[in-house]
Amino acid sequence: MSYLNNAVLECRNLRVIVDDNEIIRGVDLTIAPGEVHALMGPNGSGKSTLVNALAGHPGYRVEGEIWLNGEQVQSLEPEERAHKGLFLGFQYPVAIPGVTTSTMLRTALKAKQGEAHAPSVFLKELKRAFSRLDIPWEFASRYINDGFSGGEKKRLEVLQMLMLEPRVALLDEIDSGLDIDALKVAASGIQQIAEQNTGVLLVTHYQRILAHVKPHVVHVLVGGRIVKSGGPEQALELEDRGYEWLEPEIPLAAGRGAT
Amino acid sequence: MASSATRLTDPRPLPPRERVIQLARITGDHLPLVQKRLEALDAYLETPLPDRVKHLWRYSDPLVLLPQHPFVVPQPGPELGTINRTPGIDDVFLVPGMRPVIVSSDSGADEGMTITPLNESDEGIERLGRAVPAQHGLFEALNASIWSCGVMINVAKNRSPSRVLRITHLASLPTTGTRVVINLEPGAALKVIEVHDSGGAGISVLSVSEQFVGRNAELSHLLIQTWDKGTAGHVTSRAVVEADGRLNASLISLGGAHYKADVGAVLDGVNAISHITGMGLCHGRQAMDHHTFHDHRHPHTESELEFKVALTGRAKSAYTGLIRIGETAEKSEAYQECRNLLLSSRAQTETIPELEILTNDVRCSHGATSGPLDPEQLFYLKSRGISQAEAIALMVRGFFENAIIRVPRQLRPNVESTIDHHLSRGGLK
Repeated sequence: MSYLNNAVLECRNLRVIVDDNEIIRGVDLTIAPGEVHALMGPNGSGKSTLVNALAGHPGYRVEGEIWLNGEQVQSLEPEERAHKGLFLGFQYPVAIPGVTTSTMLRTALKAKQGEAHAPSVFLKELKRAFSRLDIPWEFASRYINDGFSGGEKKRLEVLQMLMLEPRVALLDEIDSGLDIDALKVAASGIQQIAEQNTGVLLVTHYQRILAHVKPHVVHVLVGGRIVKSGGPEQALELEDRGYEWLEPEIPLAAGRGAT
Repeated sequence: MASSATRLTDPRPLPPRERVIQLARITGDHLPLVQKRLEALDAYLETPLPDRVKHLWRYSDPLVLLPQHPFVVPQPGPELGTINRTPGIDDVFLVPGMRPVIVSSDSGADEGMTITPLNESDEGIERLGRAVPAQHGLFEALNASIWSCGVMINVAKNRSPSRVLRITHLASLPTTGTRVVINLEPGAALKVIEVHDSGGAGISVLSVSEQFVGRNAELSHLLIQTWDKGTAGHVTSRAVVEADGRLNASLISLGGAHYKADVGAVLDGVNAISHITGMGLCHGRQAMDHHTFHDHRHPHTESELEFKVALTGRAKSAYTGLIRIGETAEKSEAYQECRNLLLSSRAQTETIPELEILTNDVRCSHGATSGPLDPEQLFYLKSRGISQAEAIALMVRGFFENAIIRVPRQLRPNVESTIDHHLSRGGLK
C-alpha cells in the first residue's frame, strides 16, 4: 500500500476477540497526519473495543495488522505503543488513588523521552496546559481521576494528550459528560493537536462535538465492521436517521457490548 | 561503664534474678526500678509460652521472636560515631546496654520538652508499666525485666515543641531491649517518630513504648521499622488518651525477617480520639504479624484504623484488629479497615477483625479486602507510556500514600527514600 509510509495509523483486517466473542470483525482504517476521523455507531457495535485493542488492552486477542508510523505494533505492549506515539483517551478514565496527576505525567514524559524534564520546566508546561483546558490548578496534585466529575475526567484526558504530544490520538467518547463550555475547550484542544499534525480518531455518539472539530472522514461501525465511510455530512445524516437503517445489512455482534 | 563491663563478664551461670540485679547495677537503676524489674521477671517466669492455638499467636512462633539468651547482661557496644545534628529534629539514640544518646536539634531552645534517660527519671519509672504492664504478655514481661536502654519524654502543659523528636532504637545486640515513655501534660502537643533500625541475623528486639496523652493534648506518633535482613522482634506500643486528647499514629513496617507488632490506644476519657494508619511492605520470605487494639472506655470516643499491606515473593502477613467498646462507652464511633495487596501468587495474608461491643448506641464498622493490582489501572498507566515495573511501583506507592502523608514534613524525604529502597529490594522499583 503506497499510503502506508504516510499514515500515522493503519490497521488491516483487524479482528478482536474478547472471551471467545469476535467483537471487531475485520476493520481496515488509515489515518494520515493531521487527519480527524470520526468513528460513530450504535451501542455495542465495538467502538470502544476497537480503540482499546489499538492501544494494546491486555484482555483482548487481536488478529490482523496494526501499523503506527510505518511500524507494525500489534505484538507490542501498551507502553511501547505509547512511546511510538499512540495515545488513548479513555471513555471511563479509571481512578488511581495515591498517584497524583502530576506524578503520573512526569513519569510518563520521562519514560517517553528517556530523561526527566527539569521540575521547573515541567511545572510550567503543566500549568499552561491546566489553564488551557480551564481545569483548576489544584487538580494537578489530586489523585488521578479520584473524585473528579465526568466532565473533569474528560478534560484531563485531553490535557494528558496535549502534554504527551502523540502522533495519533484515539479519543473514546471524549465528549460525553461535558457541558457546552467544556466541550468547546476540549474540542479546541483536539483541533490544536490535529493542527500539530497528529492523526485523530474520535469515537462519538453525537454530531455535537463534530461541529467544533471538523472531521475529514466519518466511519460508521455496526456489528464490528465499518459499514460506511464518508465525509462530514454523514454525521448529520446519522443524527437525522439514526443507525437502524444501516443495521439490517449486518447483524449486531452477539455478546458483550462496548466497554 | 567500660570497667564495670569487665567485671560483668562473669562466666558463672547465674539464675535470671541475679542477672537482672547485675543489669540494674550497670545501668545504675534506683531501687524502685530494680523492684519493677524483679516483679516483671516474676511475671515472665509465671507466664507460659503463648498458646499457638489462640488467635494472636496463630501466625507467629514465639520461639522465633524470643531472644536466645535474654539474661546475658549486655556488653556496652562501640561508641556511636559522630552524629550530625539535624535542623528541626531532636535525636535520641537507644543502644542496648548504654545510656541513651541525646542530640538536640539546634538552638536547644526550651520548648517545654524534657528528654531524660528513663532509669534516671522518677516520673518515668512511676509511669513505666501503666500503659503496658508486665502482665500484658510474655514479651512485655520479659522486656520490663531486662530492658537496657530507655528514655522518658515529657512535654509541659500547653506546650507544643516545633521540632520533631526522633527516637532511634538500634538493634545492635542479640537481645536488644528498649523502652520508651512519653508523657504529654494537658494541652501539650508533640510529633514523635520511633525508628527501629539496624539488626541482622541472630538479633532479637524486644521493645515497649508507652504514651500518655493528657487532657486535650495531641500526640503524633510514627513507628517505623527498617531492620536489616534476618532481624526478629516484637514491638508493643500503647497510648492512653485522656478526655479531649488525640492520638494520630502511623505504622510503617518494612524490614526484618520476623516482626510482630502490637499497637493500640486506650480511649480513657470523654471525646478521646485515636486515628491509626499503617502500612507494611513484605517481600522474599519476610513474615509480619500486626495486631491493633482500640479500647473505648468512655462515652463519645472515636477511633479509626486503616491498615494496608503489600506482599511479594513468599512473604506472609497476618493482621488482627480488635475494637472493644466498653459498657460505659455509649455514643462512641469506631472504624477499621485492612487492605492487602497481593503482588505474587505465593504471598499469603490473613486478616481478622474482631469486635467486642458491650453497649448499645454506638457506631462501629469494619472492612477487609485482599487482591491483586487492578489490571485496568495498570493498563491506564501503561497506555501513558509507563513501563509495567514503573506502573506497579507507582501503584504500590499510591496504595501506601495515606500512611506516608502522615509522616512529619521534616522526615518525609527520608522516609520516602527508605520505602523506595524496600520497594526495590522487593523488586518493585
